[in-house]
Amino acid sequence: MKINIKLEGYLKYKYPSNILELNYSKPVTIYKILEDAKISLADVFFIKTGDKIVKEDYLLTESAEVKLFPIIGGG
Amino acid sequence: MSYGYTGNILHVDLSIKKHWIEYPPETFYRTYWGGRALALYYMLNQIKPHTDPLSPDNLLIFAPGVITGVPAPAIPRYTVCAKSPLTGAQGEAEAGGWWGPELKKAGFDAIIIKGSSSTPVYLYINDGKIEIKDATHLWGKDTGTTQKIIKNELADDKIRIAQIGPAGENLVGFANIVNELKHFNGRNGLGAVMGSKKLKAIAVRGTKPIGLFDKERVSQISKEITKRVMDNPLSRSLRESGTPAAVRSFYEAGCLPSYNWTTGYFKEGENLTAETLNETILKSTEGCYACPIRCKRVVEVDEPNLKVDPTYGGPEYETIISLGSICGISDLKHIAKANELCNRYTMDTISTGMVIAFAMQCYQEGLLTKEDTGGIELTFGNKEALLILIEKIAHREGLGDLLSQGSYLAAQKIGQGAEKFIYQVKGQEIPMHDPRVKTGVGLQYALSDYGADHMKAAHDPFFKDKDSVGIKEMKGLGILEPVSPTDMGEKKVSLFKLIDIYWSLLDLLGVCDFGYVPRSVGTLDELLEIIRATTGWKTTWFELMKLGERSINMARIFNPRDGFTSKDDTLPEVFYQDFKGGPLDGQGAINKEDFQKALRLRYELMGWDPDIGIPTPAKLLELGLDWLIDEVKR
Repeated sequence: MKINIKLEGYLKYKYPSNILELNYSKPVTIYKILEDAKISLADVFFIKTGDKIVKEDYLLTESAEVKLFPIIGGG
Repeated sequence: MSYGYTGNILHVDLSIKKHWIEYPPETFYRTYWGGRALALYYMLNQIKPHTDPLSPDNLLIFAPGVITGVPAPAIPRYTVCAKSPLTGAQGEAEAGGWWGPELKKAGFDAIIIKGSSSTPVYLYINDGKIEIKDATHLWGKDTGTTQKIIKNELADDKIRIAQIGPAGENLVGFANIVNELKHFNGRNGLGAVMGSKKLKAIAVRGTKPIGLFDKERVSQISKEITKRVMDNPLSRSLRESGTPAAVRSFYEAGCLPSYNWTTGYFKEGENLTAETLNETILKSTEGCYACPIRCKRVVEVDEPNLKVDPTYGGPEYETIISLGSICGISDLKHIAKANELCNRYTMDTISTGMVIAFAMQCYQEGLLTKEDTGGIELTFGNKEALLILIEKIAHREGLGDLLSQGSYLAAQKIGQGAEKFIYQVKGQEIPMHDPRVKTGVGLQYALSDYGADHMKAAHDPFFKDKDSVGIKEMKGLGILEPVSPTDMGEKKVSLFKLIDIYWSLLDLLGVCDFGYVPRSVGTLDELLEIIRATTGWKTTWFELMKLGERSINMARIFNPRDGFTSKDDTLPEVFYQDFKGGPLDGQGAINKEDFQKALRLRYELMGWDPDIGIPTPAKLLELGLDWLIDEVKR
């Protein structure tokens, strides 16, 4: 299955590309795909897949887009 | 020889049109440094309890910090303080821009204004010379026109002007003060205090460089920070997208404040994002004095039926939401126009949007009728009504007069249970960050002496993980362990004690949080080095954190004199309920009991009486505030 990771906000500037594509042969947690993509959870505030906000232990069982939103402060 | 500060504090009594200069000793500056600590020294000594904020007896204080104006990134800020007409409590608001540095270059560390003029005046400060000038011809004029006239009549285009527009003159409860048409002392209604004193503007021109103990070192650190601005993703994002970058995250997560806080789900959120703004109305970006980040947006609309003047800058995140989704409005061009009007008239955009959204909900629920609104169909999403109401509030006409003193007082006047639809702390409307996803922000809303404010501390996500910037870069302050943004336990309370102190310190020093950790590029070591190289004082983070804590305790003493108690440290009920609609539907409620426990623990950690939330005599003694012990005994 194909997992597309889309980086939003300042994450776009932190990593070389703002869209990453990873392939897996079996269900995978978001924690694992972030590890594989070398994206630090420290930078991620919200994780969204489909219409759901999920945690890093969420198990993806089919191809999906995962959007990562950065930490946000006031201003 | 003083470095960083000038040693001169200007006092002005507008009732008798006199001014004089005070020359405090170095120990005074080393104790209070500037900003609200310095201002509160005068407020606690000179403003009597129960003083009417709009009376001549209130003070209006403009106070940069000891290092404001140093030629290093993100240190341009100054504080304005007074007793607030919106809250009746200690009032304060910080602004960037150029005015603060210019005041220092003109020879002053602060201006303490008392009394009221019988006719409109403005203050002209030119390299140490002071004039109180007639402003009759400026009264009633918007900020852009006023700036042009003053620069013309003083024949100097380099003058920096802090001023009020018609909303300040008309004593709108949330009128603000602007410098250079786009940098605001935004909250607490301090523009109304200026209006009550018939003080239209303070025009400043200074040509003397600010004295630096080690100019070379300041320059070296400044260059090092500047070099890293575009490599650091946080500061680069501020430069590329400004504060509107926050819109997308909140909109897609379903916690974007919308429809007067009844939901976090705003279907048309895409229209409000930084990407949309950049593609449609962005004209350019700007920055503040000596700052390479340039986070400010400048927008322009030039359509037959809608023109937005770029002279007035552009909307920040707070403004896009408070004049947008909170009112059910998704048209960025109209939001930009609403922002321009608020800036022309000097009205805080957060309170303006919130009071209009409150009126929209009252209309929806039948508490206000078309007769009350003067024929306006005041439904959520009515973008024309937004513009009309801003005009009416600024000029206090019809429904605008009712709304002009903020939602708390408007709800009392409307009655019929209207208070269910207001969202405020100590009378000040809640900013556009939902505490259900950032509980530390909620604690700060509740504890803030000047009412709900999103700039009372860094926000929780910066401390969520062992590798988060707030943990990696701030160990030197004792911030060692990560805490989840939604946690409300003891570790969160302890963390936010430190963050509150650090943030209070940044404010009173004149430092913009966009320049330094955890929000951006400068490190704690670099900031400390800048302070040392500027002042020549061999200061430490111990002394600096005590300074931040001192300012918090001074503010904490001011409010009980006017009847505020720990019962005023509250959050609106909506935050104890789950989100409705969108991706976070059915989640998020803050546990009220946990929140109450957190407040009590915070009082204890601060060295305050846990039952009443007031500093103990021992805490005041520790902070060198023994002169305030009699206040707490009372």
